[in-house]
Amino acid sequence: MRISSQQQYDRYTGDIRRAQLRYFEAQAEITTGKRQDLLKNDPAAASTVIRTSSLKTATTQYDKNLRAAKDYIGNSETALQETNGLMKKAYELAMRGANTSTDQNARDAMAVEVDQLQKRLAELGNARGASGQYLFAGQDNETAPFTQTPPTLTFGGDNNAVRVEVGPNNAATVNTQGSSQFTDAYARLETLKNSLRGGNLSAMSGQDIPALQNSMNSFRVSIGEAGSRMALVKEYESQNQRRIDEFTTRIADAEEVDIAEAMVRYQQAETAYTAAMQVAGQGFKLSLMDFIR
Amino acid sequence: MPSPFHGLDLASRALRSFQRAMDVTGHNIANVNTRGYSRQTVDFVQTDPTYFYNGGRQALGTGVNIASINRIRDMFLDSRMFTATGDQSRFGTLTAQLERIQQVYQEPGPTGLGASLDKFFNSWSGLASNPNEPAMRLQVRQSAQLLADRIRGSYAEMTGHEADLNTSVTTLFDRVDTLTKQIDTLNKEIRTQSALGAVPNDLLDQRDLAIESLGNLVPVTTVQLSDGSVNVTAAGYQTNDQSGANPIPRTFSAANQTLTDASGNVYHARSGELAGLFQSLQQIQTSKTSLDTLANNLRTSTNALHLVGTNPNGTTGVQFFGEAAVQTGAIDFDLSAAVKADVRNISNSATGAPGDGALALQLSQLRSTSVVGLGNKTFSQFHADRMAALGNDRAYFGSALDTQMAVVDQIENQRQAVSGVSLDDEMANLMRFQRSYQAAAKLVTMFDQSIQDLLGMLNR
Repeated sequence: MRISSQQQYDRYTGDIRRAQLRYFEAQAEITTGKRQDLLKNDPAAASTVIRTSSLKTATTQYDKNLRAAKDYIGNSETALQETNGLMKKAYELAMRGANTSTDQNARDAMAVEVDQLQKRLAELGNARGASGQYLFAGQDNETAPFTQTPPTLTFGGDNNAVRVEVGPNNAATVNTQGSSQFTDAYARLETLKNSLRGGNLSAMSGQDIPALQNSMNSFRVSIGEAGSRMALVKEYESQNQRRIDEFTTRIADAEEVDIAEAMVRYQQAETAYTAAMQVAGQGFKLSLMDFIR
Repeated sequence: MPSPFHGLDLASRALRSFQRAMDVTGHNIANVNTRGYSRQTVDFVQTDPTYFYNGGRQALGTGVNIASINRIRDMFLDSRMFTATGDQSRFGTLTAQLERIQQVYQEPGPTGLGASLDKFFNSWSGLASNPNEPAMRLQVRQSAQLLADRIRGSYAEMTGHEADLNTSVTTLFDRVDTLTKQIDTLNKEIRTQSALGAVPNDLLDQRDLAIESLGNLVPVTTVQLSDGSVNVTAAGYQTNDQSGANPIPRTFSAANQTLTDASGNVYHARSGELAGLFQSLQQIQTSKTSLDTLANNLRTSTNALHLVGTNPNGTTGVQFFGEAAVQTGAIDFDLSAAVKADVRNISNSATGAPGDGALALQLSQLRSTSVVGLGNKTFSQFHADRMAALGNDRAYFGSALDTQMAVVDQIENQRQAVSGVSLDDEMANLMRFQRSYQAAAKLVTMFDQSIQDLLGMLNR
């Protein structure tokens, strides 16, 4: 078969071009750490990356939502703890007030203390979260739910659930329904105050103290519920983190190169590129013209 | 009896023949880099003998002449090359255009349309989970604006590409007409020369090159006529015949890959750059339709939920995306004027309760909702499937291009083996003809000396 000069030239330059392309592709893989032109070279992997990235982004958002949930639940739990503390203090005052050895002056002083406890209870009922929302107002949480108009505490919020999206088609309730607990507790403190002022020992023993115990139980149950919600949120956080790690690995498997393999390919490509240029250099030198005298 | 100058005549004919042979060799060397050039060879032939009587009838040779100067060309390889380069052009054009389309989407990547969709649904999730935080509502508007801008921008880019391709089709028609005129001019000249008995090798090469260039643009078939001219059909339409060059029909349908002439006849372009441009226009149309479908369904699904919401301003029935009575697709996909004017026109709740994120939650959960208008796929699936289809097309046509390039290379190698100039071969020929010329020149000298000697004898 004849080899024309154009054919020779085309072969040398074609080989150099192809080797050069492979060399620069190998170089790009190493510098970026990623497979090049994934959509063309591996459409299935590209599709996996697109879908998995979407899932990862969604899961990352659920994780961010959980921070809002933790704020809501955490602040609620703190307010409830303090409220329970108030009721415990009132219980102790009731126990002392019901003691026959306590004089009326002391009971009057206790009544003033109970009045302070009531004010603080109303403040705790209107506790707010990081975004300024009222924690015990239900969904109508941009207006203070509790209004103190002695001798009553009035609730103006609602009893609807505040929910946070924690997963695909999964939303968790984060608020505590506080209306009746706070209003009942306020009313019981009002009754205790009156009993102390009136020196009504039998009322204190027979009604006020059991009523205060009921309020304390009720708040302890709410604290327990808040604690359970917090534990669930932490469990969701762990799950989300595991899923995010899984998605990250899946994406990396699809789009990233093994650097060691890429280095080997780079070396091979560099060798092939050099060889193509050397062969061309040698080939161009050969000509019959050099041997004709 | 042959004349005393018979030897000189013989030698001078040899000199001329070898001189022409060296000229042909020089022409080959000069055109070693000329695209489409076929090497030429000289056929020598003995001239007719002369007869004389010397104890019987004797024949005496009279030397050499040039019978013909031939170009070495394989018409079968030429015909295979038309088909191969036509397909290569088609795949090459399509691969390049598919890459442009992919660059519009920027997938897979953080700036792609898929990432914008994810951010949009995420922002609703953030608002649902923390509706009291003003920043969440701002984030919804911002991510929705980004999504709308990406969709609208992608559509505008596709429309720009479409306009460029339509211009390329028009430019291609101009190139086709230029080439057919060139072929016609060459046909006329070749016909004239052939009638005079010549074989115009260089004109034939130029015509073959013009036809091959035409074959890159449109599918070409040729019919060789006895007068040396060639009839050419491009995409089935007769562009060159005995009457001259006919401009190619310019009415086209990219969807059907056809051209239609003034009489309504339809011609199919299934290879060549023209076919590649037609298929690229089809791909762009598919992408635009896909963006329209995505935009319309985003509008419909989002607005259907948002309209029943009560926003912090206390109003209801507010569109989230601007929507006319008849859907307009991606071209003007944008937020509604109300949402652009005031972020508090974005609803998170049906009731208006500030802590109620139920409506925003439903909007967030659209991400995993199968939509009838999207073929019962979610928004992300619809987009991912379109990307997968685009990627598969790119992979397929890229692979087809690689294969076709190898085929073209192989045919070109075969053509070069037949028609290509080898400098080494020409050097050897040059040496041969030079030595022959030297020998013929020596003959002239010797015959001249013989005549001198003869005249010298007469003068004594």
